[in-house]
Amino acid sequence: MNKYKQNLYTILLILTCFVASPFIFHRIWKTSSDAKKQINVPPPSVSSSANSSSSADSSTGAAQTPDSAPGDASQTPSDTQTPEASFTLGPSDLTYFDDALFIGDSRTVGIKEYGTFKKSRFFCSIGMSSANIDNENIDGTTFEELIKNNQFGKVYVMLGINEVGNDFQYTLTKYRAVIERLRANQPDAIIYIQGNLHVSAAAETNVINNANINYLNSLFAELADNKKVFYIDINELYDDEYGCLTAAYTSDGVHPLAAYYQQWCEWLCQRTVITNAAPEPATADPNYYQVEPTAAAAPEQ
Amino acid sequence: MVFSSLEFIFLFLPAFMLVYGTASKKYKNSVIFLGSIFFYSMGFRGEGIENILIKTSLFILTVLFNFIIGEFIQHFRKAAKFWLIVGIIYNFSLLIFFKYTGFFLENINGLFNSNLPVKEIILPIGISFYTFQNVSYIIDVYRKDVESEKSLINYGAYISMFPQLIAGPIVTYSTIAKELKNRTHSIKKVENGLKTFTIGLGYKVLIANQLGGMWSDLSMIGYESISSGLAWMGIIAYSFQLYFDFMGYSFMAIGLGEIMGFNIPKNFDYPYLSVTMTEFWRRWHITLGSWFREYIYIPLGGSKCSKGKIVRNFFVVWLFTGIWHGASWNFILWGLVLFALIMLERFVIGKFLNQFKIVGHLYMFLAIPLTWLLFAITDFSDLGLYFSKLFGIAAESDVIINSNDCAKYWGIYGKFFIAGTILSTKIPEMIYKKIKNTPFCAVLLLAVFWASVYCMYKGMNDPFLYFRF
Repeated sequence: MNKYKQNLYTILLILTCFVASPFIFHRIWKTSSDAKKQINVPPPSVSSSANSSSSADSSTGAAQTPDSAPGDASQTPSDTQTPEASFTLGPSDLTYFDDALFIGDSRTVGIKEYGTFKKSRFFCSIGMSSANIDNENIDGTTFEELIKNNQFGKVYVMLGINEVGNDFQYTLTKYRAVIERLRANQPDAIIYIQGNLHVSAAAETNVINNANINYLNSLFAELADNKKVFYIDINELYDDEYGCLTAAYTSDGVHPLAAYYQQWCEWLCQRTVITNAAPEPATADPNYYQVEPTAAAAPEQ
Repeated sequence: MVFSSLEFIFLFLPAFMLVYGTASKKYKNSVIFLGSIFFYSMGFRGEGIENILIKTSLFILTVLFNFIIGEFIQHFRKAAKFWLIVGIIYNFSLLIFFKYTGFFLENINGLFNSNLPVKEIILPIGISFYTFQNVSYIIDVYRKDVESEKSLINYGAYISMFPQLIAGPIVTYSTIAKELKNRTHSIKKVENGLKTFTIGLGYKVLIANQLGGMWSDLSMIGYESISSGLAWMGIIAYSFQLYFDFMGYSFMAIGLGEIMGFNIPKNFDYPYLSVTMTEFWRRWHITLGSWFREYIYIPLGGSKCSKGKIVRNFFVVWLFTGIWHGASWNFILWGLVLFALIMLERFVIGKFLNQFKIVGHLYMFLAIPLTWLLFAITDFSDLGLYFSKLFGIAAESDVIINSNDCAKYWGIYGKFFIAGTILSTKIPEMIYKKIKNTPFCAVLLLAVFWASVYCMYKGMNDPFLYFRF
């Protein structure tokens, strides 16, 4: 008996390892086989955001809505769903963000801690995704409670980098649900979908790479209707000539250095929705001469 | 292969123990040699089969070569010096080639504006350690401190022994010669070895790896955006990380050695309790200090010569200590700063610090993190920036700093700072000695083991479930 007591640790260790070994072996095996294959192969991308969105030229690709206003500076990759709407993205000052809500992952945490929007509300955490957003409890509130009990003038959403390894359609479903809940609970708010930041060329891996990020961004961009929901993409500011996050702007290849969040905020100030008006619907009077609805004719506000 | 990985603990180690335990005494050293070669080659897993074969063969060839040199020195005494020089040149040429070629080329390019291609040479792991071991062996044979090893298997087992192959301690042949030929094994040794291994694992995974997160966070933020307080927290976190990482590894090596019947010498003796830098370097990475003292300092004359020569001897030792740690200028600066401090202590303030220990501790509280800063940051402009943050002499800029950053990071890492501080003192050892053989201790260590495994399990690259960006 004494011998067992004297070597108790060895015995306990061997016993517990024996019990746990199937789980551990499974994990080891899974990790090494997963590392070899690339799970999500995005289909050849048809949307323009697969081509680097660093081009600020507003007539990129075939995605341009024919009715967009001449001053339109946004990228709207989906043309078929966009109804005839007119809007411009233009500058506002800092007070625009006083009634803003920012939802997102660690990049949004960066905006919160190192940006200039000190009066906005932030619901963000490292590791947040559209799949786990309801598990979060931040500043004493859940996501559902936050959007039910408060009214915001505008909501910025930036999620996706933490789920780029999941099935794309699954993520899109989750993300769409978040947007829908925002629309339902914040009927007067403008919703900005921020495209996910690229990673630097050096940081790209099997799963986390700019092709996948671009594809995910393009799926999210299709949720924009340009009436209430808009898509903006910071990559036009931070990309290098290869469509990757510029190496000098980052240390770990995934997050911009804190000093750049100021710039990010200035960029957001330049990308606020100024006008948002749909053209007049046709009246029933057959004698009313219908002017072709164009943006140019839309009333400026 | 890293000790703190699931593959090592649950695949390699049990398999090795099984084979080693069942092998008869005659073959145990062969098992060590072959098992360690396998362990070594697994470290190159990502580099392609060609690289694995080349680097592993190079290692085996080096072992063979030094074994032969040892025998030549022993048996051809008249030409002993010649063989010694051949051996030293071979060993250091390899080390210099792999470790310093890039550094030399970059500097030549910088000096002469030339455009020599700097091809990236991947360092064979452990080369800094096994080179020193091989050289210590042939010098010891030359000095007749020890007789040359007759069995290639035994010599191979000595150099390649996986507990100390990758990150030391630097075990000299004479320390281990007797045990190579004749050692005992027992369940008690296995028990003690496993306990020591577990403690080391806990230090590395539960303290060092966690605090390491803080230093990477600071890099991610960028040093221009951190507050002064956070800069200090950062460098203290780094100091703890380095200590527990390295000490943890040494403990694991000692524990594994003990299971196999070897007494691997300890490498750390509460360095953070030192009152002078001189004392610190007798307590930190002890086997490296011994190597430099035995094979460089004393042959140069040690302390038994004129003051000027003593200073020169120290200079040589610290210059090479700096260079050994890394092929870039910040390491050389680091070595030279240590030299300056140690000379200052030797000739001016040492006695005072040793007498008034409070002052000594305060002095070291500054000297340790500040010297580690030189070690941690390679780029000189980053170094200057960080320094200016520490001492509040940063230029006025409108870079935004998160005024809450100290509180935020204390919230995340505070408990590790506290744990690290307590574990740097002798308190845990005193407690451990008392409870070592109790069931309570066994359960406690079991908890440490499984907590560590859990961290490794979670942190494994599961790109589909666990991004934390």
